[in-house]
Amino acid sequence: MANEPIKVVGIESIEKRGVDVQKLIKLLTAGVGAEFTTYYYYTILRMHCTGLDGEGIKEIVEDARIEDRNHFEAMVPRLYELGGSLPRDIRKFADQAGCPDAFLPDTWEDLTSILRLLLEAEQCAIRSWSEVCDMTANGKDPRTYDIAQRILQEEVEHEAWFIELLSKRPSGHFRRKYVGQSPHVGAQGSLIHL
Amino acid sequence: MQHWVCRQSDIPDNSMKLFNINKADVLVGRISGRLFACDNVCPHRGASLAMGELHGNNIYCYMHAYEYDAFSGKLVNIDSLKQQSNWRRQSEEWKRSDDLTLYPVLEQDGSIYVDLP
Repeated sequence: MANEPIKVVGIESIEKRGVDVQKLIKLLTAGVGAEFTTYYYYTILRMHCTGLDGEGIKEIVEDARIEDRNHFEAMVPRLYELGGSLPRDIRKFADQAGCPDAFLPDTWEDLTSILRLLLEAEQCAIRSWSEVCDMTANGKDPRTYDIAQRILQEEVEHEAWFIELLSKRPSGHFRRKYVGQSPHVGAQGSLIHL
Repeated sequence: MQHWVCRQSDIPDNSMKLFNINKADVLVGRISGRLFACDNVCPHRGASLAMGELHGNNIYCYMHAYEYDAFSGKLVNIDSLKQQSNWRRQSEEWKRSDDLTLYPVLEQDGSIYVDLP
């Protein structure tokens, strides 16, 4: 009895609705890997937002940094529910992340080079979470979809912020109520640890 | 095992279309009159190749701009991603990609068939 595998109805039900769970696990591992590495690299990027101009964007980078960490926190439990897991070796985790590393550019004293990098990272994240939404939408996996669409909403907001800073195109952004508020991921589902 | 996919006219020249066959997502396309069929999953990071585009004989993945030859399955071009400022410092392991999974495809009596394992 003790060695008998226990049926996971939460997995069975989404498989019956057409979700390829192994494929989904790969996408989620890549997605949370990108969030985690982004959080790390954004820390370095934020530190290099210096001088009078840098002071102006430091807070917005910090919002994106903490919210990306929140995305990692929000989706990792779902990865385990589905039978997946984080790689034991963080190097392997980074190598299978869904987005390239956001290394500090050599030209970091030119703030636009940092902003371009931030924008590339957010755009990659949008593509990555859109894949998860596509795979789980229309009632196929409501739980994963719900978390992924909340993350996606914040990534789209981050993209708009950085485009505004680079091009003056209005994003509708004012400010978060507090740093890294995560209005979509955090407030509605209590999915993060604040 | 051979599966009926669609009518010949459903895949015009220089286009591709996604089909779900036996629970597998299969991308079927035609380039300069020649058909190809492959797994829809990008072998680099799992994106849907149907969201990409055809660039000559290549399938261009919208996620990281990797391009695979639709007939050999080989990764042939990653130039677009190289334009990104931080590309040269990415780890080789992160950049690595398997080849596309190709499936035999044939046209017969106005229909297209794909051979899936």
